[in-house]
Amino acid sequence: MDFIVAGFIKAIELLINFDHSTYTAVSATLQASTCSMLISLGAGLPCGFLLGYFNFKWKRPLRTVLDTLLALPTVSVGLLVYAFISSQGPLGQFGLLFTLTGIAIGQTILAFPIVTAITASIVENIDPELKLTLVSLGAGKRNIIMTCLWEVRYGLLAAAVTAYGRVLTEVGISMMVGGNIKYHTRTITTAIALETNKGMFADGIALGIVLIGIAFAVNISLSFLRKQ
Amino acid sequence: MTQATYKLNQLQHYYGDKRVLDIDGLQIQKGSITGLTGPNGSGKSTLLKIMAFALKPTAGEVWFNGRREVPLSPRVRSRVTLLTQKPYLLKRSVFDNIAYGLKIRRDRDNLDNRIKEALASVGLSYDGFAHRQ
Amino acid sequence: MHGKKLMSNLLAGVFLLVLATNSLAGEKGLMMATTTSTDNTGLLEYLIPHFEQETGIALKWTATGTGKALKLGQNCDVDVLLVHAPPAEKAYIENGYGKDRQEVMYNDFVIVGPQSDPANIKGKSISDALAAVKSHTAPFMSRGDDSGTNKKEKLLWKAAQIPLPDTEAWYIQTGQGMLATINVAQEKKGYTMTDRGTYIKYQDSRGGNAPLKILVEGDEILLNQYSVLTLDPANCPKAKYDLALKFSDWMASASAQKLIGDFRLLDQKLFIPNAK
Repeated sequence: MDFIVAGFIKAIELLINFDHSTYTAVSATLQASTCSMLISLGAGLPCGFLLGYFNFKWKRPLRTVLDTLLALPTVSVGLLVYAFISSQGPLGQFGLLFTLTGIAIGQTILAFPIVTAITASIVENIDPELKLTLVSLGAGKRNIIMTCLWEVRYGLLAAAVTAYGRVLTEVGISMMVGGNIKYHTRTITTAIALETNKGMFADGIALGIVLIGIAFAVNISLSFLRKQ
Repeated sequence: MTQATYKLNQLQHYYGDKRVLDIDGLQIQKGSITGLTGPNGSGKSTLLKIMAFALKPTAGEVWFNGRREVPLSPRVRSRVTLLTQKPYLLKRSVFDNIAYGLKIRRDRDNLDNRIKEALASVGLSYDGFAHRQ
Repeated sequence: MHGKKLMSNLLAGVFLLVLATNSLAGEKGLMMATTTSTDNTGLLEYLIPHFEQETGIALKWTATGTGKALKLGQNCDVDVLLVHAPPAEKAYIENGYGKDRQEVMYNDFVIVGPQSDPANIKGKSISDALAAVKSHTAPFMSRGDDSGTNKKEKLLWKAAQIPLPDTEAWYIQTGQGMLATINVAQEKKGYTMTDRGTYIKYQDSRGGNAPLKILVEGDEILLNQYSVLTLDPANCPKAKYDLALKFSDWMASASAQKLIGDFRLLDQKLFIPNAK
């Protein structure tokens, strides 16, 4: 129990002393998660919109597959990505194993179904009166799509926050694809895994607090985007 | 004879297997006011949506000002509008709701004053309402 | 439209940035796979900066179990290995995955357990000790992860002529690293086999007075030999063979050997240099 208190104290120490290994872990986490979030949002929002807005033959089976992908264990994704980027794999020549880019790729695979599935649900539930109103006001195709997305922006924000939470806290991909290399691909989560495995529980708690701190900071800034 | 504003030809509309509209021919003249009556589910809203070019009919043609038109066609987009029983308000200020139609036509001249006039014409003060969400 | 173009440019920019910072790292760098015992004791953090200073070669390493480290070498995902599983290493070379093997340091394995020693193994020979554990069905923690340590442990059961207690309730396979496994043993007041270096580290982290004590030590079979393995260029043409050899030679050099010998925790040596 006392390691929890020790953990809090250690967290403050690490941050105030600009502990190099902590700050590089923070930087690694932020780099990989930001990159993967931008890409999965950039691809997932449009795909989710298309999936939710239009009706077509494969819509239901596609939604089912997508929803199933929401349950992908991170270690499995890590293993999958490893198979591709290992030097024996088809993408071996890019040297992506043990890099942050590799981690970002895996995290994108993790986040994309989340963004797409939630966006599709939101778009499906848009009030049909909205489209009617927009058409009667004279909106063209592009305006209809953009205005629809803007109308449901808070729901889309929730989708992004959900995906971000998953990406920020995953260990399986970072460990398998990144290799937990100190100062290079050690993220906060892999550092926590390492310290707790070594029995350094206070350090593990400290890093956990730092991670929550980051999540908190991100969510605070996002809350300014929400309704007052 | 002046051209009818609207000419509907062999119009049919189905929801799934259910046929809700079956009109051989209908003409509406310019400047006229037409009323549609009928019980619930008789297809009134459907017909209005089709005529407002917000819905594509399952079969048949809709002629507007002498030309056959379809939904989202540029010629009808800014010329036909539909006011429903329960209008949907966009999640933005009153000002932006009113300005929406103008903004998407990139018609931003004198926006403030025109909105002021519009609000005044229905008895709402600009200062009191324009910025309400 | 403005927003869309900006977005895709931003995405491309971020992606390229991450890609660029990665390729900057690559060129005169060596990638090593090693085991958790060399990493968790802090030896590498202490040792490698000297290597980088003396040779100008940057070395990054990933610490996993021996099984995975060997696999990474086989798949050519790394350039050099530092492991401690001599039979597996020799087979590795025979199978054409490894090229040169340089013994660099050793320590020994010990059996640790609670002071109370319920199975009464203290001071016994390793075979007698294991037999005692089995007959008392005392909790015994195994790494269970095919690591160098784990392989040695299985060897000990074999040498004691006891079939591996794989499915026995008292034989607990944690599937984790050495420190984690020691912690489980501490919690369950059980026995485990660990290398002395990690045990000293464990002691150190408990301020010198840890609940688990060394009960069995000294048998010759408990020797724990660490070696550097280079990868066979025939199997891994892209692996940096020359740099790997330089690392191997450096580890055997007088300066590195001295550094290894000087590495202490609680004023005890964790690894004993023995390069020839």
